[in-house]
Amino acid sequence: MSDVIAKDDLLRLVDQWLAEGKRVLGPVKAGDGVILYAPLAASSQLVLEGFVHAANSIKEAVFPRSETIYTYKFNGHEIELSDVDPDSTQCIVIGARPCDAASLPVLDHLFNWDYKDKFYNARRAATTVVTVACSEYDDNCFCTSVGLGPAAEQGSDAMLLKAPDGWYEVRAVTDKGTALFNGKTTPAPEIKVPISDGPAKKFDTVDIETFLKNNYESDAWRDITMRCLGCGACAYNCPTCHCFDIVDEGDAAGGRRVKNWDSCQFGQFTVHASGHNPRAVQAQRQRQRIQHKFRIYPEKFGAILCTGCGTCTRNCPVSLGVLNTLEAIAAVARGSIEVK
Amino acid sequence: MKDWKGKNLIFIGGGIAMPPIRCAIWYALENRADYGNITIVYGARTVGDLVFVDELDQWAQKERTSVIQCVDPGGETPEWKHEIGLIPHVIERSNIPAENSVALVVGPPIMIRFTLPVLDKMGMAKKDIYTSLENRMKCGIGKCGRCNCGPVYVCKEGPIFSFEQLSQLPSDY
Ligand code: SF4
Ligand code: SF4
Ligand code: FES
Repeated sequence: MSDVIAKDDLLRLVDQWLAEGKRVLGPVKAGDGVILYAPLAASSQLVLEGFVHAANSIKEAVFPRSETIYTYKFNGHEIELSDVDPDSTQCIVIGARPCDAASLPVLDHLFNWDYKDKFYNARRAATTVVTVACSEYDDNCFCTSVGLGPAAEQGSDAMLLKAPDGWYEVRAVTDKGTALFNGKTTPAPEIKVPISDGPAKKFDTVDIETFLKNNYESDAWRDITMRCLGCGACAYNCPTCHCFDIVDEGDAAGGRRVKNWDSCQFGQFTVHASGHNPRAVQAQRQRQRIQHKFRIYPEKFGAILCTGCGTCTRNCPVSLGVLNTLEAIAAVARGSIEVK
Repeated sequence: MKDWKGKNLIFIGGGIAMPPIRCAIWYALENRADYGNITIVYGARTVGDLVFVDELDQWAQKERTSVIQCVDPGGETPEWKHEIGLIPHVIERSNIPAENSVALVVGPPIMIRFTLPVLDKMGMAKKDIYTSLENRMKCGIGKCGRCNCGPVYVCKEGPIFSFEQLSQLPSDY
């Protein structure tokens, strides 16, 4: 037997979640027709199909672009610090793609090695992720090259698979997912929802890792990434990029300490107080992004810091992103591109 | 520093590195009997950039302790009586004994990059040469992704590294 839900009932359920005061995040059509993951005000905004991937990622559910970590007040010469409670508002992400959900177990490693980040963990615990298995993909998708696929369940609490006649099959993956749909689905005779094979494999991560180990100083970095503008669009929209800045915002009376998204693609990212910059040119910053995702993170945490969603390439003003870089690296490694 | 008992100590500081390295120098001088010869090399761009100069003169009076001061060429004043030259060059010509020695090198990355090989050439073991990386940090808890030097988060796994460890890392510092 399969559990199914009619699309209308699903939308009613979304409105019920909203009525219960939950935060619901899902794909919506923004003003200019771009699909973005954004907080919903009503289920009518939700767009579940007809696009490959939103232009951003779901990471804002667990890692907002700006978050206050504490506040401070000046009392004469004393400084008074006050903790800020982590936000644990119940949040449901609906309509995420499997490549978005898969970023969460990958990010868990970083936010929990050594020091455990209470802000991330509170949001993560309060978030339930409902994905929709992919029925389409584009040239920028490469989930299958990083061990995932159109119906990969990593990070999903429940997955919806589009069945004929306005129905979705609901597959609960975790207890959270089971609880969310408990009593809301109808049993149906086993339906065979066709699942696409996804994009053909585009490179072998073992080849990439080997290249990265042996070619830190290669001129290939310069050649491949020459056109990168350092805009950071790749990183801001990436579900796995998690670098942040910490700044104080305040005045003579006090203020708050804030954690803001940042990107290793920005020239100022690593500048020392002296003005010296260990990553002075863009090729070094691109090398960092690729090394971090495909070698450093796997070595440290046993997981690739990329889910193959292709968002970076779709957003890149010069069509670079990681996919074109990885394909070029694979070509250099095979010897089919020569480094001058 | 407890592990270095019985060793000769070489402190090398560049520019504004004197405040951080000074604590280690104090510790060694307070526990003078535990260590062999102490050599302090301190350089800055110009005479005006040297800090704690009074202390340098006092240290030079201590037993089995020598102080070498230098400024970059062009940074000297007419009254300057000490060395003129970049720290690695000054070390190269100064006959500091390498045997049974531990070196602590603190300063700007460019100085570190050129000084470590000089100590290596003097015959010091790479594992006895220590330095501190100055990578920019924000969180200090291995999360913000800013301070890494290849696979190593300097904030968590450093910032003190031996030349031996540093040789295994990419030059992102
Ligand atoms: S690096 Fe690009 S393809 Fe990989 S997870 Fe980030 S946005 Fe997606
Ligand atoms: S790879 Fe593209 S999106 Fe990323 S910083 Fe460079 S130009 Fe911007
Ligand atoms: S300072 Fe943030 S990771 Fe090291």
